[in-house]
Amino acid sequence: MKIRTLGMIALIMAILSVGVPYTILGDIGRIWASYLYWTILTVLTIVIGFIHLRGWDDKR
Amino acid sequence: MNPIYIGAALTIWFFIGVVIAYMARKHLGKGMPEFFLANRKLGGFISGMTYSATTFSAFMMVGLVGLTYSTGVGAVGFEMIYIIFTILLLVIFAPRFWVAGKKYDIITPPELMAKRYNSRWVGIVSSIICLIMLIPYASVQMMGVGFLIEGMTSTSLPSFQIFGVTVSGLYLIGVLLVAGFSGISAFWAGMRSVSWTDAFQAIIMLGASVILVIFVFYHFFGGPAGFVTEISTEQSHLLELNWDLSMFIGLTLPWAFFALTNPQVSQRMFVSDSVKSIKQMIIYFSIFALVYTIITTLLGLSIAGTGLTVTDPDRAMPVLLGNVPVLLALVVFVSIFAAATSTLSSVTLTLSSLGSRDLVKKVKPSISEKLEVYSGKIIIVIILLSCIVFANLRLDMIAVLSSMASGGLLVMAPTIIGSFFWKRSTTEGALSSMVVGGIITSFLYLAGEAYYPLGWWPSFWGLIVTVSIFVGVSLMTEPPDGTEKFLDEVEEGVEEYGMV
Repeated sequence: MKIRTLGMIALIMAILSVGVPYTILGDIGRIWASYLYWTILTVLTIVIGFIHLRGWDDKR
Repeated sequence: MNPIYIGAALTIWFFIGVVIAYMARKHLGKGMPEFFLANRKLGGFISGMTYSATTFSAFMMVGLVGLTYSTGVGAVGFEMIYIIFTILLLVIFAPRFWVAGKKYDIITPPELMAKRYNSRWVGIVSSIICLIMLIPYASVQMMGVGFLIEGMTSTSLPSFQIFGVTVSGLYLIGVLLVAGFSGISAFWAGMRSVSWTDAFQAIIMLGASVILVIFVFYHFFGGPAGFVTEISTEQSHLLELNWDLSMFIGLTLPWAFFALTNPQVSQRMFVSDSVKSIKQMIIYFSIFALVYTIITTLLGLSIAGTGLTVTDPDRAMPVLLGNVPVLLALVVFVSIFAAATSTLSSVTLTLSSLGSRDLVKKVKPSISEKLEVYSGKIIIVIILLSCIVFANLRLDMIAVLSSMASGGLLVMAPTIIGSFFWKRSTTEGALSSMVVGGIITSFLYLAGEAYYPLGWWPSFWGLIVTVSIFVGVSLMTEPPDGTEKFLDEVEEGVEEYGMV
């Protein structure tokens, strides 16, 4: 993944991690609402990070 | 709880820690890179664990648990956003820090900025900002253990007055214990002993928290399903997002850039021995961070569901530990002690490297490496003494204090990002943005909430001011000599090592 792509992902994550809980999920008093949403976003980022790391290959 | 139990648990802990530090000392070589970076020879597992143990402090099991208990799910978002950004920042910046560190023999993050901006003043200013902002953060580690010992013991020791400040006996013992253990770990063998003890402490932190959350679920709620039912019905207000947006942004912004702006963690991007080890460091940290955050926030919600009486959010965990079996409480107590000492020893060691490398060395360039290490050791003692004094002032809530420290460090973010990704960034832009941004942010924090413009927090305004000045001044001035060469060499190195 290029740095520009990772930068875009960071921007999208910033918008999603603040925007959705403050507009849609914030009033729902259930564990599957904001709590689960933030956890899923974090897991998604970890997966993206791992995919990027798979490309690292020191061939020297 | 009987203080003798706590004393016995800490004695065992102390013994193990000293043995690990002693073993690390036997491997200690000579020179600055050896003392402060373990000669850039840490493997993936130790790199990952020292990164995790340094990042996650007493704040997690005391401050974050208390914050979730009192304010609900907003605390989860605050911490999860930290993890999201840390992972992204690590995959982008760790290769560049690592390559630049090896190529130019850089030991501290301010030294990296001084190299890129071709100005010792950039290094000096950023070191001073780190020293000022990290003293409260380091003190918070001591406060966490102080509160914990006070809250867990049934006995009380007399309080006394020093220079008009009332000092509680038990609290002071907690503060001194953390300071003593961290001091030994950092002083004895530098990064090697700190990272080895960190690895051991990280395992204890995670293991103890897993056992505690399982016990709490089954003992108080009859199982995880019972917990979810209880929390969704009786405590559903905690699952609604009731953090004011300005508070959420104000606390989260500094946390999002923590991996870059806090030198005790960014310095760890220099220590790995290979590309494989950096990869492993990021992977281990990601998993550790997710699991530890889920557990601590679930514990915060659980305490609300148990109906235990808690008078102050920072005492939520001590109250919980007073209601679980003694052995479990002791293991968790030791794990929190471990979290505090691992963070404190790393902060202390990093600040001492900043003091000796970026201040003493810059004032007296002819100083020998031996004297440089020696001055670093003296700085370790001075920092710990300053923290002890600060911790005994017992200011405000742990979570807010921690974030305030990171809020002050946030003013370095544009300069660090510009170091690698904006050719037009200049020395004048870096210096003016850090100085003016630092003054405005500190002034707003000290002035208090009544003076926050439009109700938005200092970190928010600080970042806006810092970015505006950094960009504006850089566009009006010329990049320093060697900018192109620095950027080309770093990018070539990243490509050569296959980290693209």
